[in-house]
Amino acid sequence: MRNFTYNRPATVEQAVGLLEARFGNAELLAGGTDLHDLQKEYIAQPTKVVSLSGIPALKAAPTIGDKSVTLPAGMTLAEIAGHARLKQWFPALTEAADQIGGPQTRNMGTLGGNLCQRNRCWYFRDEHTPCLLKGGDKCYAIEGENKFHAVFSQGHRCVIVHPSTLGTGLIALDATAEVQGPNGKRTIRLAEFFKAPTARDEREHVLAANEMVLSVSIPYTGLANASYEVRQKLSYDWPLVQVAVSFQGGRNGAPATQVKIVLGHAAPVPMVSAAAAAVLEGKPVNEENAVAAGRAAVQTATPLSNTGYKTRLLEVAIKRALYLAAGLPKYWEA
Amino acid sequence: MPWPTQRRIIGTKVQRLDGPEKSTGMAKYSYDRNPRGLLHARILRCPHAHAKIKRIDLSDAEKVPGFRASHLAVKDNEELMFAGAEILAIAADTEEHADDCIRAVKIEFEVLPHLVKEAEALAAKRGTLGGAEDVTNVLPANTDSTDNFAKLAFEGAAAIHEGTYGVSIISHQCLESHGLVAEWDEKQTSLTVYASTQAVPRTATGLAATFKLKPTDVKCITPFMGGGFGSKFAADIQGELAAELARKAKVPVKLMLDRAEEVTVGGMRPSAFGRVKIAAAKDGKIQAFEIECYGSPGVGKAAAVNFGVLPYIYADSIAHKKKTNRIVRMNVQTARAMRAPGHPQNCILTDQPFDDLAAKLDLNPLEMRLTNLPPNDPDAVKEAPNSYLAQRNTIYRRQIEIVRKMSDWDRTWHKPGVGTGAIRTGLGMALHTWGGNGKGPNPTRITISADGSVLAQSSSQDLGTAQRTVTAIITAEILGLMPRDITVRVGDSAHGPSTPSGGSTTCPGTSPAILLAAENARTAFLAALAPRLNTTANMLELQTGRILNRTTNGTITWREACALLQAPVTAEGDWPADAALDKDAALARLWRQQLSNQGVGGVQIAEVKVDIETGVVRCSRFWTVQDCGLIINKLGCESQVAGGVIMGINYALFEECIYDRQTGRQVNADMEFYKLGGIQDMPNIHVHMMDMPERGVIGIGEPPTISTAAAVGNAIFNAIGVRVPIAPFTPERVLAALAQRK
Amino acid sequence: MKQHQGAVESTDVSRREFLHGSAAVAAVTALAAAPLATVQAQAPAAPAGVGPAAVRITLKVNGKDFDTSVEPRVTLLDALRNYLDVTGCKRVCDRGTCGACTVQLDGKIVYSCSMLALEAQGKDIKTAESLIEGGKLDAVPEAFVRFDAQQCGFCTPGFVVAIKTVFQNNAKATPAEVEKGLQGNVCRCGTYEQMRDAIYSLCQQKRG
Repeated sequence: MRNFTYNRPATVEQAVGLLEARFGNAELLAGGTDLHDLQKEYIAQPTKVVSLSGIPALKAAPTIGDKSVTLPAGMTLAEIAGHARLKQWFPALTEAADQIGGPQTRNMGTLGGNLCQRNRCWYFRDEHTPCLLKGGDKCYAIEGENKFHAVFSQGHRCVIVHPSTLGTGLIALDATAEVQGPNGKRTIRLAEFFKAPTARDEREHVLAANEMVLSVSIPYTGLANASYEVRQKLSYDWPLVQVAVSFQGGRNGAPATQVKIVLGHAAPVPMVSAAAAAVLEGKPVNEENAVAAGRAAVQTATPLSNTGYKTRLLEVAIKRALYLAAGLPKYWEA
Repeated sequence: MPWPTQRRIIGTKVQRLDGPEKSTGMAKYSYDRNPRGLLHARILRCPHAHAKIKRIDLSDAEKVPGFRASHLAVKDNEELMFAGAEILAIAADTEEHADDCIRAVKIEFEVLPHLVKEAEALAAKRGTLGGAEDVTNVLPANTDSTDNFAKLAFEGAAAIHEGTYGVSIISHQCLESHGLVAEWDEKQTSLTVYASTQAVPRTATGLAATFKLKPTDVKCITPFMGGGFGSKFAADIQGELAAELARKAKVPVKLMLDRAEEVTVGGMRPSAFGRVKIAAAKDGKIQAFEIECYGSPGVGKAAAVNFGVLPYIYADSIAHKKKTNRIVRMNVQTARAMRAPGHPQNCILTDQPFDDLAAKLDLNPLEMRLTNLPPNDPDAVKEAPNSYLAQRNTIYRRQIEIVRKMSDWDRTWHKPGVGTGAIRTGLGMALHTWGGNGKGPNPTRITISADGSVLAQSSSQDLGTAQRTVTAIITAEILGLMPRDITVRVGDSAHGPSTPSGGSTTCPGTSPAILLAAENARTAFLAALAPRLNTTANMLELQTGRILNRTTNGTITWREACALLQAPVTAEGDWPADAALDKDAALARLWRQQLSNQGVGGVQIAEVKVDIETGVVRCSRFWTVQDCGLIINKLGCESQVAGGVIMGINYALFEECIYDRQTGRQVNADMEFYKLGGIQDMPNIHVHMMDMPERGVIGIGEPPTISTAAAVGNAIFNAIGVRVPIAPFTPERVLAALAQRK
Repeated sequence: MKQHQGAVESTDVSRREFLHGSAAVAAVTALAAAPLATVQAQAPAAPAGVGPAAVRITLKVNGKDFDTSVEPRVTLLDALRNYLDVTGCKRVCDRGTCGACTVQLDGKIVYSCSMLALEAQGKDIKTAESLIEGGKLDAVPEAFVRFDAQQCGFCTPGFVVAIKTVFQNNAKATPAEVEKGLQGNVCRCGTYEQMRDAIYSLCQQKRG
């Protein structure tokens, strides 16, 4: 790890003041579970680390309002996963949080850090592979080892999958993030929060280098929602694919409306599948419609040499996420 | 000196002596040594899979704060043959500064073409691999066949099956990485290393040779070590570099590999892929086994896999056999021995086609195994009745009957692919064997002191096999004490020679020597005691915790007796020299067939649940029956067996080194995408130990990991009715196989 | 004076006790060290940063305060192992995956490899070494010994700390809950079968 100066501001304004206009030299430190890995690989080489551990506002309890719930960015994954009311209202979020890493990662990792973490591509994280995101001229995954990479690859020069599973759930829940920059605050819909990076100076989100996430608000709409991951291991592992869904109604033969289906670990950003949602919209959640939604979602998939299997996994994950949200039996736990 | 027939402690469940230290972090491993003045060293490695150094400049590195010493590991114009090849090492005052120093080295490479995929290396032009010598990427094929194979092999067969099978390169992934702490004396004439090694004396003598020192001038101290699995038999380059740096800097130096280094240079197990053609008669009797296979030991030239044991287990009951094997070399690290070298691969290449053939014949694979068990060897029955060869048919038959009941096979096994729903359950089995013979020298010294304490010492090492506890059990058994009463010191080369801990040879290699040492100690103790009790030694009897004096019919306690000693009593025990054993048949029989032995059989059954929508496999239950001759510590034995199975499940489902053909680098040299199962990923494992005390002690480290992956593969086949050809059986491979299903 | 990373404990006696007779490291430091207190002072303007030179810090480990000097980049794991000679937490993956470095921080388990030593100041840090007192084993390591839930032992302190924490948070934890608490720990020797025996015993449940 390259050495740095360590700053521990006491307020958000101070923290933002320590950031710089371009990415690279100054890095925010939240839970540390991603930043220090990147530093140890010399992928991140900040000379200034800005710790958020001294800012009480980021670590407050969730604010439960009339129309929405606001989670401070410093809430840990374990706090999200274990929060009784969040579990009741937003399983798409809490289930995703509960499946991240192990308890150590969940105790350390934060909401803000999860949304702003960098991708897990093994070429990106290898200092000696000069990929696009390190200023090189090609994405090594396209012709290389890509079984954990994108299924929806067309139009992308860098075929990572976005690692955030909370982001997938939050998009399904129509959440917004409040962001602080040098000129004040702004609000970003989670659906517009993520971005596919293609160069060294870019990140997997739309925030400027001198902005930071303050909180995330989730509207309390009473939508049925769920997240489902296909995982190879039950212990520490990344999902092969993840799907978060939300809809109104849908149970017991009632039509599902306001359907949202979001695909995780499928593309460089968590991906809203309008095609899948359209298939289900106005229909009850049952096997036939859940399968049809899954099929529709992958119609436009353009898998890489080794991600063909993920199209199948996405179909299945859509079906199972819909089953979970609709309270249908977990037939896969037989 | 046979083993006692009435055993008080041997064969019972004894807690490991060092359990408290290990479980509370108090045990000091090599990685944990922080002697005064310690420097930390790091290695600069070649980032390319094949390259030459054009220019190297240390001037900036030497100016980095904390720099203390550097040492070059390459010769002029040397070709670097894999990503990770050592170039130089630097010692600095802190690890952080050592990193800074390494990064300040200016170096330029001439990058050369590389090969990191077996299939590509097989097809590539000779010479692509590079190297100073006249080497090639594919060594000449080796073919071995029974007479008239082409004419007789498949004639009249009721069923012939052809298929492809294989297993990828995997890594040892020792949790304590390779490395050591090196410390010279002031005059720099003697060296002490704290090395993470499976061969304490050999590591010391190897370093003595490297540094042209007297063997006694190098000490290796390894009271604890964090896993080796066959990859840690020497100081290696990193150990030599640490010693060089310590000599230059005149202070101790620690050099332990980081995780990426551990995975890319600390050892790998060769891959093996084979095209198999197998045929049987209607009753399931296999008549022919033909295989064309290849595998890669990396850049090394050693046999990829020991194909000598193909077809595995059933070789002696199959009439017609033909095998062709090719060694494919590529630009990755040289393979190292890994837990039962070659056997898991051979088991995968044999026991899986076996079940596919059984399916073709519509036979129950358990029954078909009974049909094809190798016979007890009649010569061995006469000459070595306790041997595996003399008993293998009997052993496997008994084991299959035991595991059949344990797993409720007759009720739960179904024909391949039968089942409904998203989750399909399957059962699969496989067989294994391993040598595990011990030998000397393994001198053990036992000292009984006036305070009642007993010290047992040897240089042998405890890899986590509870060797320390084995020593205490045998000593306590003979001296009428409890294992906790014995202080054991292992892992110090100053205690004399000992055999390396590889190939399951440690327990059979040390136990007879410990037994002899303990018996000698008992004799010497009673001889020293007799005059103090005004009697002769033959009138004294050592009982549990006390000494009976037949002269008076009185007893005194062990402590009272020891208090009478005028000086500590010391005795040694060791194997007779090999020459003496070779000359004296009776002596050889005692040591090699009664006190210790070699050759075990084992049978394993896996139950899996396959999610046919996602291809995710969970191993849900596991049963294993294992013989290991005379059991010394039942608790330790069961631990070893369950651990072997868990390692086998890991390489059945998760483990694989993935190399990128563009960069020649391993993309998953970590513990994140090099996957290892956690406790939730592992089934309950039901272990049945078959105690055969008359056979003597046989090693148990390798056998239980051999047949696990093949059993899991067969269980998956049973669950889904289609073969997943290559291990690990990952979701994408399972889905690909399912897509082939008619 | 020799430059060396070292630990200075408040009292020599307790340090010896703490190290339980292991080789003591040099307790001398000549590195320029800025006290971190300046950083923690709250002021409208962002407080000055510290580093990149070594910073003097105090870590409370297993109930005792230790002073040392570390560069900002030094992880809690490396500070414990290389600067304080507390080696029960092991370095294995060094990337927050395997759990060998697990320590308890204010009652919650963390990967000490993925946290800066600077960030652990003022926290109550507990390692596996805290689970033996005066030769008496805590129930968790005791169960590990009894059921032989360890082989090479390199992963064991991490597992023990993780299990201990599950029970501290929930004395009535079920075996399944304990296993979930071990999602972030990996064993290579394959001790899970024996570990399950230990877990069931700690949960006072019979294994089926």
